[in-house]
Order: sequence, then structure tokens, then C-alpha cells
Amino acid sequence: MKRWLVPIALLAVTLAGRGQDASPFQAYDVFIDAGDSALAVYQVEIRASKGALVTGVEGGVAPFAQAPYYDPAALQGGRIVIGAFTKNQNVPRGRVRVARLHMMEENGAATYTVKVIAAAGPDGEKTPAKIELARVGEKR
Amino acid sequence: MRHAIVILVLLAGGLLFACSSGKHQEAPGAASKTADEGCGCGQSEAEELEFWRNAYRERFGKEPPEWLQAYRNKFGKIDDVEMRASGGYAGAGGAAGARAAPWPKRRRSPYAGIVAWDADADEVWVIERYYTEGGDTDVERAPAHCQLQAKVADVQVPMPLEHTAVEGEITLHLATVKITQRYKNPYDQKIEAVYTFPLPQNAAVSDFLMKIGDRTIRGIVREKEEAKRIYKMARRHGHVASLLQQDRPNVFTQSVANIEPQKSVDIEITYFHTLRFVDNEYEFVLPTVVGPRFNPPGRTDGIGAVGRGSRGHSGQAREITYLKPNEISSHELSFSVNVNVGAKIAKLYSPTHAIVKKDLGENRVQVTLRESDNIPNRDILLRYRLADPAEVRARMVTFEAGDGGGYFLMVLDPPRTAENIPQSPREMVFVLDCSGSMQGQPLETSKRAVRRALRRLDQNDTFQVIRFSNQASPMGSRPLPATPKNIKKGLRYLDSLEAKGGTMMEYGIHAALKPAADAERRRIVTFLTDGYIGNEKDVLRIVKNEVGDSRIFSFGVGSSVNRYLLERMASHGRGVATYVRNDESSRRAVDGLYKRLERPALANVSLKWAGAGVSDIEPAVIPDLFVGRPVVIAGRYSGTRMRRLFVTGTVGGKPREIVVDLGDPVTHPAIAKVWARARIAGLHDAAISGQVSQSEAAGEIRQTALQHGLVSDFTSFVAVDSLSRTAGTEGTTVRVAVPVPDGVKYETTVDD
Repeated sequence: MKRWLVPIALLAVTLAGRGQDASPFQAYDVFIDAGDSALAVYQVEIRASKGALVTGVEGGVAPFAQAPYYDPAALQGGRIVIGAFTKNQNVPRGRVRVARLHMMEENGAATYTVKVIAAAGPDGEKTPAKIELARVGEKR
Repeated sequence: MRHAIVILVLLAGGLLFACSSGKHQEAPGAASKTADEGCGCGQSEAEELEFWRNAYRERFGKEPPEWLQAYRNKFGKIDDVEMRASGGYAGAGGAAGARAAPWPKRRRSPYAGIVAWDADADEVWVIERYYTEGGDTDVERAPAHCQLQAKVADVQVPMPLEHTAVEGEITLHLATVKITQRYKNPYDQKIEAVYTFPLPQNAAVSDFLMKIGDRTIRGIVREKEEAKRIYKMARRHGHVASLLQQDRPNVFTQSVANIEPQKSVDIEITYFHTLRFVDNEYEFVLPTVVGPRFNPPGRTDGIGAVGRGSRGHSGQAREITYLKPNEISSHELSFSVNVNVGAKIAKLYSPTHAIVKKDLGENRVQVTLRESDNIPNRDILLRYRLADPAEVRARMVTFEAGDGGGYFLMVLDPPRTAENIPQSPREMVFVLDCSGSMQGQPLETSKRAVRRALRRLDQNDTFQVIRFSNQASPMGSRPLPATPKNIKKGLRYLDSLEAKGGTMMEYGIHAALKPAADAERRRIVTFLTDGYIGNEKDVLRIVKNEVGDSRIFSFGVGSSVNRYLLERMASHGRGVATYVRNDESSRRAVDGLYKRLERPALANVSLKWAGAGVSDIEPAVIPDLFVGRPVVIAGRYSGTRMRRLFVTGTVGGKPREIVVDLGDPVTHPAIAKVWARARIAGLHDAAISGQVSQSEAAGEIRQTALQHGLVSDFTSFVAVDSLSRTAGTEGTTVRVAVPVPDGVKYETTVDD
């Protein structure tokens, strides 16, 4: 009799969890830190490990609240190049959330390589900047 | 009585008509009037109908046709019709019937509701109801919506598609259109909404946004199967997600998963397309409903047409659900297009809808639909004519790709000096779609057009009339000489035609193109259809394989024609497509056909460019140029910009060369995407004709679409909100039911 208990218990757990099993979808916030410089333009590349796919691109905070455009020609699996600019004179400095990526990670948590292709201030002058990707906690 | 048009004008405010708003929105379960109660004007509908039947008998001396009993009124401008009135109109209110107030002779009606045509006598009956706008001169003087039909109570069906907002901008000869579909869940459990809708066949769909509350997620273009897999995975895990797929170049399906009760999700789609240009008028088209398609037996990859509650009956890969005749949807449409062509507009109008024009200054005009005219059951057409046609015909529009080259789009005008050349005899073949979807107005419209065409035949021509539905049958075993006696025979044959059964279009094409060609005559095939089939590729393949030296001029008949099929048929047949609405005179279309046949401006066209390297031209084979029908050419260039274009061809068999100075190009950011869309269409054609293999074409289409971020047969947009996860498993799928197109009968087209 005991031999059946374990499989039945497993089956019960499986059925119970079928409605809300772990989702492979995960959001990541994209931050750019231009230090003391103002940030008006950016273009970044994000590359995910195999098994992860970009499923949507969302904006960040003002003035980068609009969903940024991506280069379709550069889109390959987990690689995406996104960019945005603002004509707003009141541009941010320091660490700014510029976008949010929606990913599907089929092989568990993916690893990411990120790169700033270009960052510039309102006058178009290039500025050094750092990029950071932060996993967003799931909201129910 | 030929060319005389009798107008019976009625201004009997609601006397004959069922309503003034176009809708009878009664809550389900509300008490309804019976058909005999009429509209509350004191006269029953049966009495009203009998009045008109008697009027018809008196006027034409015969029994009235079916349309008089069940006609859905439509309104349009008929400014191409010269009117000679013998009727009049009544004063406001009052009794039934035409009154004696005379209509000025040869006056052009500004706007009128065309009720019916009597083709035998070339007469039109017009019922007009003036609509007085208090001081607003920009409002088109259009009648209110009215219906002449047996009235039954309409039931408003809750739909997850609440509203579609269309915003467009027309610059040069290009339109940028943003469509926002608002999906709202009216039920008490979460749903997946699925909506199949039309777009122009040349629309380059290149942007896709999903809006949830104040958050906006830009969709990603992926290979079709991958996008579908992502969407299904997201749906299963309870995420709000959306998927936009292309079913045909002009049919798309939007799916939105996990919409919670009373919550809404907005989907915003942006596309670009070039405008049609016909006889000095630009034409913007917004299709609003996909017509019910017929799929040949044994096929499962078509588009099925089913009634509500009959899901799965069609057995087709894609199914569209149609509202029953007494049902209306809560779905509404708003439409706002700015015409900004940088030149003075001489004329701007819609032949299909009542519009409001607002002058924005500097030659910019905003066009919106009147609120009373927002039912998405027919194409919205917008036409404009420039004060000086030469002013804006920007010959060359470019977009730099940043690699020392770029993309271009140009309009190739036919020579304006094309001379009349002696006519060689023709074998005119008229093929009429007599399937169920053509029953009523569409077939009558086709018959009118063919009658007019028969009467214009030259004595050296021969003609044949072919009908098809489940089978195809010609009028005679061979084409007949166009003698008066034979033309009468042809007219009688037309009278005998009825519409019922399926749309085995391939049989009609075989019957027209298979018989041995007449060595002394060029075969001209005129194909009249609504194009409501699900196997377009099969039909186009047959056309391509069998057309030989024949020419095909396709006539789209109806309010919501399958323009993809009609345009491609004409393209394969080196002719042009023309459209005739049910409420429109066939004169313009038929006379246009003969004008083009009599003046083929330039045939066997080839191009040579000076000043740049040019490649990847679309269309790859330049079609014959016809008077009034320029050809839009897209391509890529490298190096310095193009200076001149040498166009060579033949007119009446004699060689001719035209030199086009390309001038300074204008830039437009959408040109690369418009080119990519044209390229994809060209690859489809190449695969259909066997010039490239299916797999080769598929690979190149996929690559082109991904490179330019476009939806195609092989690529789709997907968007997932990974943050919003709804409780439970995936919800119930609800398909957005749509009305059958105006003039199409539900009973003969929908699998119920």
C-alpha cells in the first residue's frame, strides 16, 4: 500500500500546481548610469544566454517612459538592440531606469551580457555610461 | 429612355425607412415590434413596401425584383451620374410617395441614397433624405442612415472588442495608419479574445504595442511558429499576452490572452501603404470587415465563415464568426485621417461614408466619420484630387539606408500623349461569379456592368459570357460575333443568371482561359467577383499558368471586396483591377475599361536608370501602362542618387521611349518598409509561378520580414507582460463576431 502513496502524493502535487506552475516569463529593468552627465540619448545591446527570448520591450521612467524602439535587423533570439532619445531639456543624471525587457527563459534563469553602444547628452556630446540589468520581482 | 435616369426622391422623414440612426439597439429581451408594425408613422412596412412595388410596376411595367423587398440602404455620392429627373420630393414629413416638386434638370445630386438601379432601362431610383446641418458647412450633406427592409428587433451582442480607433496621415502618396483596438472583457471570467480583421493588401505592418493601464509594451517580431509558441506559453501561465498573425496579405488575426473581467487591453498597430491612383484621384482604402469566404471541398487551410455558436463547423484553419442578421455588435469605429499632401486639394470626398472635413490650414485637412456612420461593415474610401495634378506627383521618394545607398519609391506615369491607335479585334470574355455571396445586389451590379460592356462592343469583336459557382458554364460553345442579335442573346442570358452555391473560381478561370485562343483577336477576360474565397493561392497559380497572352481585368463587386485577390489576378493578367460598389454606377468602371483597352499607353515596358546602381525592383516585371493608371515602383539604389529614368516600350507595336527627369527626391522614413512589403509580394508571386521554389521564397520572405520588422506569412508580432500574471489557467476563447459585409446575405454565405 505504501508503494502507491508516494506516486499519488506526487500526482496530487502536480495537479494542484498545474494552474500556476513556475512561469518562464521574467522582466528585467535596464538602468543606465551616466554619472554626473545628463542622458538624452542611448543605445544599448542586451544578449541573453541560449534558451532565453525577448518577448516585449517596455519604457522606463520619464523622460524614457515610452517603449523604446529596437532594431529588427539586430534581433536574434535573446539579442536585442534598443535605443531612445528625448528632446526634453530636463534630462536625468545618474542611474536611470530607461527600459524594461520581458523575457521568456525556458532553461531556467538566463545569463545576460549588456553593452552600451552609445550614450549622449542633449547637445549630442557622447558621454561614458554604465549599464545594469536588474531582475524584477514577480507581482501578483 | 437610355441614359435617362429617373429619380424618385422622398423626403418623408422616416416614412418608408426604418430608422434614422442606422442601428436599432434594443437591450436583449426588450419588446420588439413585428415586421408589420412599421416605423410608427402610421403606415405599416407592408403597406410602405407595397407602395413602392406599385410604383415600380407603374414605372417599368413589370414585377419588381427581389431587391425592392430587402434592400439595405447605403449612401454615396453619385456625382458621376448625370441626372434627368422626372420625379420630385416631398416636403418634410407627410404622406408616402414622390411629390411633384421638380428636380432641376441635369442637376448633379450632392449626396443621395441610391436605392436601386434598373439596368434594363439604365435608370436609377434615388431616395434622398436631406440632412440639414445647422450652420456647419463642412459637414457633408448626407442623409441619415435608413433601412428599407423588413424590420426585426436587433439584439446587441456583447463583444470583447469594444472600439477600433483609426488615425491616419497621408503625405505624398503614402499613408501611415495607426489602428487601436480596445479589447474589454464584458464577462465574469477571464477570456482570450480573438479577432480576425482586414487591412489593405499592401499594408506594411511594422509596429505593435500592447497597452495595459498606463503601461505600454512594444511587441517583438518573431518567426511565426516561434511567436505562436511564446504566446501559447504565456497564455498557459496566465500572463496577459498578444499575438498578431497574418492569415492572408489582407487578413490578420489578433489574439489577446488572459483579459480579466471588466479589464481592458489596447492593441495599437501601425502600418504604411501606398495609395491607389486612378484617373487623377488618389484613393485611400480602409477595409473594415472580411467577407465570408468559400473554401473548396477537401481544403482545411482556408478561412471559414460560421455563425455565432457554430465554432468549428467550417473545418478550416481560420474561422471568422459572423453576427446573425438580427444581431448587432457593441463594437464601434472612429476614424480620423489627416490629408497633408503639401498642395492645394481641389476635391476631397468619401463615396462610401458621411464625413466631416476640418481645414487645418496650410493645405491640411482632417477627415472624420460622422458619428451616425460608424458601423464597420464596408470599406471606407477616401478620395482626393489635387488642384494642380502635376504639383505633387513627387516622382521619387527615398530613404537612405546608411550604407551609401537606400530605398526608393516612384510613380511611373503613363504617357499623357498616348494617341488613339487602330483597334485590333478583341475576344471579350465576361466571367461572372454567381456564387451565394453574390446573391442580391452584387450579382445585379455585375449584370449591370456586363450589360453596359456588351452594348459597347465593336462589331469586329466576339464575346462570351461565363457563369460559375459550383460549376462553370459558358453562354455558348464558342465566342459569338458581336452582332446586335447576339448581343441581345447575351443580355437575355445575363437576365437568366442567379446566384447560389459555392465559389469554385478555378472552374471559371479554366472556362475563360483554356479554350484555344482566336488567332485574330486578343482575348480580354473581365472577371467580376467579390473574391470571397479561401484558396487564393490556388486560383492565382492557375491564372499565372493559363493566362498566356490574354489580359485580365478584374472587377471587384461589392462593399468589402477581397482586394488582394483582385489586384493579384489583374497583375498576373497584365491588366488592372477596378472596383464597383453595389450603390455605384457601373458606368465609370466599364467606360474606364474600354478607355484602357482603346488606349494601351505603353506595353512591354523596361526601365534603364541613369546615375545610380538600382536593384531589387518591385514589381520585377513592369506591367503595361494604361491611361490614368500609373504604376508604383519600389527598389534599392546604391551610390549617387538617380537622375533620370529611360522608359522603353511599345505602343501599337511601335517602339517608344520616354525620358523621366527624376528631380530632387523627397524623403520618407517608411520607404524601406514599403519596399520590403512589395518585395514580399513579389516573392509570393515568384513562388506561385514557379520561378523560385516554395522553400526558397519562404526563406527570403522570412529574412526580409525579420530584417524590416514586418508581419508576413512567416513572421508575427508577439508581446508578453511578464509582470501581470492572472489567476488560474487560460480563460475561455471568445471570437469577435463581425457583421457580414453590407449587401451580402448571411443566409447564403455563413455556415450556421
